[in-house]
Amino acid sequence: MPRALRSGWALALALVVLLGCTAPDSAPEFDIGSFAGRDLATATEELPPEVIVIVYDMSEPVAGVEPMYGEAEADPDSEWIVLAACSPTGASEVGDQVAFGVLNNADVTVDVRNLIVKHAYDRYLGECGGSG
Amino acid sequence: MLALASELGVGPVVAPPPAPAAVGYYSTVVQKKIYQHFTFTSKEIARCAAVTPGLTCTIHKTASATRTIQLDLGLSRAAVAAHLQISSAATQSVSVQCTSGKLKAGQVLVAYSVGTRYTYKIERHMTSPPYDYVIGTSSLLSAFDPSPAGISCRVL
Repeated sequence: MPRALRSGWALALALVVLLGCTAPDSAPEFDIGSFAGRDLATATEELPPEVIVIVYDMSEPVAGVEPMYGEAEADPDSEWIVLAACSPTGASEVGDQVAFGVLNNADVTVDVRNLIVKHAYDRYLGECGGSG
Repeated sequence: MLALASELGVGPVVAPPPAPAAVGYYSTVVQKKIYQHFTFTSKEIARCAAVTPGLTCTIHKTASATRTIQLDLGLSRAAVAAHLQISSAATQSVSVQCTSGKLKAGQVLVAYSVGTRYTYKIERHMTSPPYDYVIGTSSLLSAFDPSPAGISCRVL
C-alpha cells in the first residue's frame, strides 16, 4: 500500500476513535416511554431540573376514585405510579416539558400493570396523542 | 501714566465676554410605577388540556432562586449562614406548582409567568446651565421582571 494511502487510513481511523470516545456535550436524553410503570418520584428525579412537569391524576377515569394528586393531604410522589408519559411536542425524548398520567399505588392492580406495558393509558392524554 | 501705559501696549483691563454655555443632553426615567406579583398572561409557561373528563392536572415548575446573605465586620458567608441555620449555597432549587380541580373534557389549565411589572416614561432633557429643558417624552413604556419561583394558573 502506498505510504500516502496508509497515512490517510491511519488518519481516518484516528478520527473514528476520537469521535467515538468524545463525551456528548448536551444533556442526556431519556426515552419518555421508559417512565411508565415507575413511581413518580423516581421518574422526576432523573429529569433535568429545568423541565416543567405536568401531572394528570387519572384516578377517576381509570379507577373510579376521587383524584387526590396535588391536594395538600395527598400521598408523596413515591406513592403515585406513572401510567403514561409523553412530551407535549410528541417527541420521544424529554424536551422542556413532560406530561405524566398517574394513579395512586393503592389502586394499581395487576390488570393496570399489564395495560401500562401495552401503553393502553396513552389515550387518556392529549400529549400522548389521545383523544379520550 | 496712562499715556505711558498706552504706549507700552498694556491698556486698561477689560473682562472678556462670557463663553457660550455648553449644551448637553440626557435622558431619565420618570413616572415609574411598580406592580408586584403581576401575572403576565402573554408569558405562558405551560398548559395541560383534558381530553378525558375527570382528570386533574398539576403543573410543576422548578427554578433556581438566589439566596442573599449580607455580610459585615469580616464574618464569612458560611459563618453567618451557620448562625442563621440556613444553607450557605448561593442558589436553591424552588419548586412551585398549581393544581386544577377536576377538568371537563376540553378544559385547559394554563400556567403563566409571575413577576414584577414596571410602567414608566422616558424624558429627554437638554441642559444649558443653569437651565434644563424637557425636549421630549416617550409614551408609557413597561418592563417585566419574571420571578423565577412564580407561577399563576387559570382554567380556560
